[in-house]
Amino acid sequence: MTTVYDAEQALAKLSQEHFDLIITDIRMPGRDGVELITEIMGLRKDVPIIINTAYQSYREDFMTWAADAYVVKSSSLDELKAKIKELMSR
Amino acid sequence: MISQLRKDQISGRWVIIASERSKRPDDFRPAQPEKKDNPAGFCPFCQGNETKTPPEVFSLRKKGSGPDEPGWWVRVVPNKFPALTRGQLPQRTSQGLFESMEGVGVHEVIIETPEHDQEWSDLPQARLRDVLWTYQQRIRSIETESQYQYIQVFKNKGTEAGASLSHPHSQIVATPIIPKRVKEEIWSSDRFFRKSKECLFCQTLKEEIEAKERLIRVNSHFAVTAPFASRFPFEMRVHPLRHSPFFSKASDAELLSLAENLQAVLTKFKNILSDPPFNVILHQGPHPGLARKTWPNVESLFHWHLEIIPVLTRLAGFEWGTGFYINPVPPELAASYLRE
Repeated sequence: MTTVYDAEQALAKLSQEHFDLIITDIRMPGRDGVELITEIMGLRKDVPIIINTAYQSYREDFMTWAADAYVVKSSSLDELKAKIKELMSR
Repeated sequence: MISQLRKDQISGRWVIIASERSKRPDDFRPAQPEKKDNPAGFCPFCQGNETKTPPEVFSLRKKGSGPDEPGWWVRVVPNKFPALTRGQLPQRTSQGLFESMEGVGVHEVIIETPEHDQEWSDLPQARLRDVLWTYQQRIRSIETESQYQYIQVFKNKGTEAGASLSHPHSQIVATPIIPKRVKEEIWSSDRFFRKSKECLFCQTLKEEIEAKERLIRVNSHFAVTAPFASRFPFEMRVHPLRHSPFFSKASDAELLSLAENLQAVLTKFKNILSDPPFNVILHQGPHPGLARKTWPNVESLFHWHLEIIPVLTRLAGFEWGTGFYINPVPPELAASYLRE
C-alpha cells in the first residue's frame, strides 16, 4: 500500500508503478480529488477508484462518475472495506 | 414608468417588475464566456466511456450495436451515486413534529448526444425530437410503478444553472410525494376550473395570443410566451395549443414542433444573450392513476408546459425572505427582443 499526500504525488507514483486500486479524498491541497480522477482517466481507465470523502454533496458532480464507488467517511470502516473487497474481486 | 407588482395566477406568486431600471440584453452579456470543461479531457458521458456509467436502461442506437457499447445517439442511465433509490412506497414516520420517510425514488440521466459539445440548438431537429421522445418513454416506464407520484424532467445547462458537466444531458427524478410547487399549480387550476369550467392555462394562452405583447412565437402546435409575471429576465413558457395534462401523451408531430420551437428560442438566447446558462423545467400532471383519484378533473384542469429560465440574475435575501422576485426586464420588452 502506498500513501501520498496530494494529487501531484499521486500522479507521479501512478506514472512509475502499477496499482490495483486507488482511494482518494476530494478536498486536498492543490488539485482536488475530482481533478485527480479526471487526470487518472487520461493515464489508465481500468484501475478501480474509490472516492472516500466526508462530503455527500460531490455526488451531484457527474465528474465523480469516473470513480467506481463513492464512500462517505464515517467512524466505521466497514463500508470502505466492503467496497475494496468488491472492486478487487472483479 | 414606476415599478409594478404582478401576480402569476398559476403559482399564486407575486413579482416586482422593476421597469424604471429596465435592462437591455447587452447588459447581461458575461464579461467572459463560461469556461467549459476540456472536450479533449475525460468525460463519463462521451461515447467510448460507457463502462464508467451504470448499465443503460434505455438507448436509441444503431442496429447491430449492443447495450453499453458505442453506436448510440441518446442514452439513459441511472444516476451512479443517486440521492434517491428505487424501492417500495415508503412509510412516513414522525417523532413529534419531525416527519420523515425513506429516500425512495428514481434518478436517471439522459445523455442527449454522444458529442461533448453538441447543444440542443446545434442538433438536427429530428435528433432533438428523439431526446423529447426518450423523456416520454422513461416517464411511461417509471409510471408503471405507482409509488412514484411525480416525475420531474429538467435540464441544467452551464455551471451557473447547476450543471456539473458541459456534455449535454438532462435528468429525471421521480419522487414518492407530489412536490409543493406542483400542488400549488394544480390547486390554482382547480379553483379556476370550479369557477369557470375552463382550463386556467388555455384561458391564459388565449389572452396572451390576443394581447400579442408577450407572445414570442406561435406555430401549429405550440405558443411561446414571456409570462405576465416573469420572475426572471427573458424567462419563457412553452405551452402546447392542444389541451393535455400529460407531456407523455404528446404526439410525434407535437414533439417535432416542440423541437423546432426550442431550437428557435435557444438560438435567440445564443445570439442576443451570448449563450447564457439556463434551466428547462417540465411541468406536467402527477402520476395519472393517482391524479385522477385525488383531483377527478385533472384531465380538464391541468395543462403541461415547459419553463425556460436563463440564469442572468442571482436570488438574494429579499427573494428568499419573501418569495417575491424582482425582475429588471419587463416581459413585454423581453418578448420584443426574443421576437426580433
